[in-house]
Amino acid sequence: MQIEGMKLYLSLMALDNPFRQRIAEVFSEDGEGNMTLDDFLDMFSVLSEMAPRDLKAYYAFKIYDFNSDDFICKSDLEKTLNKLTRNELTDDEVRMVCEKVIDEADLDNDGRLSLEDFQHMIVRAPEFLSLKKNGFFSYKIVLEITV
Amino acid sequence: QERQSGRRRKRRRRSGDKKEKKKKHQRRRSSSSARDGREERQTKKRESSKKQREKHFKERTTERNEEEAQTSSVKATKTNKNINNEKTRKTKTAERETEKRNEKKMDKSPKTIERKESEGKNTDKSKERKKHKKSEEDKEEQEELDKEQEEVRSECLSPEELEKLKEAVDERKKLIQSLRVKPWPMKKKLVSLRESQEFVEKYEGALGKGKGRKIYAYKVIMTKKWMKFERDFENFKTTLIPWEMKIKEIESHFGSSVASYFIFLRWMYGINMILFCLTFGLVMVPEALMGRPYGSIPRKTVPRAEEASAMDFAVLWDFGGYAQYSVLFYGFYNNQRAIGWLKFRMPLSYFLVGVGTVAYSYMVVIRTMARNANESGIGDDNSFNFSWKMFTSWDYLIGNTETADNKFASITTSFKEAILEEQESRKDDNIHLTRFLRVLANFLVLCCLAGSGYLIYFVVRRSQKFALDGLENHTWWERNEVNMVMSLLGMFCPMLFDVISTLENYHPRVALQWQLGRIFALFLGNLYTFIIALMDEINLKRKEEMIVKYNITTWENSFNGTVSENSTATPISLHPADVPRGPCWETMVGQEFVRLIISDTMTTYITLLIGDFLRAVLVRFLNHCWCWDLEAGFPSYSEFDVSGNVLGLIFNQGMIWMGAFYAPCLPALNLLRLHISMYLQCWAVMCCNVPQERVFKASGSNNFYMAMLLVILFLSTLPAIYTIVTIPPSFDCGPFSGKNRMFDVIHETLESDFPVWFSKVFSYASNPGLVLPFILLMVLAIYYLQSTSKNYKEANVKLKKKLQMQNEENKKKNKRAALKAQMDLEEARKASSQQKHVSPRRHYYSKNGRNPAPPVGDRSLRRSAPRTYQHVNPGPPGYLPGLPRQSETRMHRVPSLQRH
Repeated sequence: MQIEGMKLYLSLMALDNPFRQRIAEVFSEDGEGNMTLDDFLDMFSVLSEMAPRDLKAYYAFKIYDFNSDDFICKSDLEKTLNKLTRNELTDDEVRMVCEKVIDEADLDNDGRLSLEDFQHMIVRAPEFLSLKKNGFFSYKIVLEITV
Repeated sequence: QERQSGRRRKRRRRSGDKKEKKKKHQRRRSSSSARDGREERQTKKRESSKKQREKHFKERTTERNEEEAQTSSVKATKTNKNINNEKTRKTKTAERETEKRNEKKMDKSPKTIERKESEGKNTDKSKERKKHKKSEEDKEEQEELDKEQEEVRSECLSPEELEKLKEAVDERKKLIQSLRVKPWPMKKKLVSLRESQEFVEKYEGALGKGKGRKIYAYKVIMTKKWMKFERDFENFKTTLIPWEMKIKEIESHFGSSVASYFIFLRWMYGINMILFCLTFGLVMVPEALMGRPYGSIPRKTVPRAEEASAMDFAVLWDFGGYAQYSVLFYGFYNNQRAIGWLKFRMPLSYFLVGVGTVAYSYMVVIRTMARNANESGIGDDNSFNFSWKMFTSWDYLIGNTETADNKFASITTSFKEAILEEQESRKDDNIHLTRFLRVLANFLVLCCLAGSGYLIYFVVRRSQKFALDGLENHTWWERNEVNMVMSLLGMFCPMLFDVISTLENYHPRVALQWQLGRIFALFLGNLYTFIIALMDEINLKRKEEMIVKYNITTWENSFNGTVSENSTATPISLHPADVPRGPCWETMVGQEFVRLIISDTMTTYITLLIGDFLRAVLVRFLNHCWCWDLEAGFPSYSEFDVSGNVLGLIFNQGMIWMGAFYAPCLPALNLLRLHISMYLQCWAVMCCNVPQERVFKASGSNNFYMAMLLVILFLSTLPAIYTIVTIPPSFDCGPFSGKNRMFDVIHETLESDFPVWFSKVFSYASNPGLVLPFILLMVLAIYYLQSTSKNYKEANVKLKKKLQMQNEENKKKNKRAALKAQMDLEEARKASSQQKHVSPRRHYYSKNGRNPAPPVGDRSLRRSAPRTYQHVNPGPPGYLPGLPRQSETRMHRVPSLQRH
């Protein structure tokens, strides 16, 4: 048996993660995805298990806020949904889901989710309550060996 | 002036007056009062250099105040710094008053310039940069403070000072501990960590404890290790759940309803495992190891007539021949009371295991049902269903393409399920029409069921008549009529029901339950005919047995007669294979069940292979050369038939429960079958089925399956109990041979194995006078428990309603508040825009807290942000590393206004 190659990477930055690019953008200082060492460390401290939940919620909000206007609006939701389902839902379904999300979580009735709305919603999520199990917004180091 | 300052210095030298310092500190904290105080002093001190210094200091305090507001958690530390700074200032003033003034000034001036420069820069640069600067400044302050403290330490410390120092050290320690969870950028964290560590290191020695750090480090490592262990253990536990990954994969592609079948199958496997352990460990193995070996007595030997074909595959496949005369069946067991050197009570064990398997099954089914009901009662908080799905469904730990694909599929499926639910809940069109159609559908189904019931009854009666006539006189169809009719009904009625159920327009989950219920009713007919046929056969065998018994006794008598004539009285030496024996109806029943299970399993597998696999292969490969589109058109790929499979599983289990008493090998066989079908069906689903057109969410609990299982369990224990209680066991086979009834084994054990008083107590206890009141008591208890549970349920429902109402109320309130806040915001915006027109530059300064007297309107808007966050601890502005400034400023405004 011969080991041909070894790959060590973060689950967070795995090619399949739909929010890979977005995470890099949010944590980089220039907003383009080019990260300095400090940015990198920041990312780890936010994504570590010991990071406080509010912090995670805040950064999750940033990540889902694709156009960085500090609100998650409908276009952000559509983008998120299409990334999550790999465009397998029909337009009608996407529209319906987005409407439902805004209907559920928008507390101040402005048709988009502010950070407050988002936090209010996400701290009640079962995945969020037990971070350890579900890996919501955490990372894992993956070692891949090709033989 | 000089006297005053001298006094001050003295006071400082004494360094005990805590109150004074606190007062001053308070004065300094509120900037306006501090300004007043300083102005007062300024009038006294007229030196220009001092003024400059004063101004500089003012700036620093305001700056510090701002920082304080932002990071309230380190407030205490900063306060401490303020105090110390004041001290520094005072010292410096005092020193300046004395003749060293010039020298000092020389010393200080470069620093001041530097600061000024840095401040100049700050106004232009981003806030973050400023923070860094500030932390550097903090560091400088720290150094000053350290100098100061060293000075303090060089003299003897008063207890108050010591106390304070201790507090400061504790604060630092706290800071170090909580630094990890602070929402600061990494640079700031590093700086404050280093600084605090230095501080603690320096002064812990003075306070006499330097081990804190080590212990802390140890603690951190241990918590980390513990967390890792916990996570690994969780993972380990999930890997221990059998087939979890397979089921998850199926669930992600086919939805939770198909997965619910496999979960049910796994649960069934678990139960059968226990049943198998019971029968295998307590019945089969002891008999095989310690009982008399094969061939020692007639019941353990193949009779002479069958010997030739006993090893033929066809015979063995039918569980005849050697298989029939083995531990697999009831007839093989001997009625010896205790076997082997362990004195194992075989008949008793056999009886108790038979009762135990049934009792255990009841217990497990009922317990699972109760637990499921419990779970479904609590966990249905669906207030943010879609949002949670949207924002929390991605698992960021996934690092492998295959898992990621599955995750994508499962997320899509779950969204589809949720959308379907939503659509169903919205739909309410023409309720009268649907009601009519539903009634009609039920009527049609009832007709079907009644028809098929009559058909079965008719066929069974006819077959009984044929049996009385003798089967040889009839054609093949007439002989196999019952079986054929049964299987035809089982094949076509479900299809008919399926067609009928499209009339009803139910939610697919409800439709599945109806379908299950209907097919269940149909299959009950199957069960009923089977049991009737079996009873008839038992009666036939018993008649045969009577004859054999009579023959044997007459034969033995005549033989004994001949023996007694000879004086030698030699024992009868017949080979056990030649001894005449009864038909042993128990083994026959066991064989029937085993054959049924085998044929059932075979049919399932073959239909799976032909109906699913072959169809999929044909559709896939003939599609290239066919006139119409096979994949989209008529045959297409098959969907997974949840209802049929679930019912197959349930009825199969019913057979096991019925037959396990007479064929101890049944649980083992069933285990094998379930094991194979788990793999086979998992493969078949993934390989040749397509997801249902409407993927729907299975009900959280499988209680509907469980309820059907319970009914089947009850129905299948009835005949078993009936045969055990009413029919006397065969005279020459099985562990209970020679007894009048099977349960006599209990009596026997009580009499011979337990002390006398025990059997006496038992006989008293089994007195109807005692048993009847006991039963009454139990009924009362059940009634009481049932009524209380009803009350609890009602209360639960009420509470839930209340909670929902409250939630809605809150939402409304929030919306109102938000609307108000929005209006405020607009007003404020107007005001601020006006201010901007007046003085945009000052405006910006005021934000950084540099403006000595900002305009009123401006201040009210800008100040509101930091002030709010002092109370609302982990507020957004803290989380601002590495972000463009533009978004930052907005971040400040919006949430704070919402809170007002």
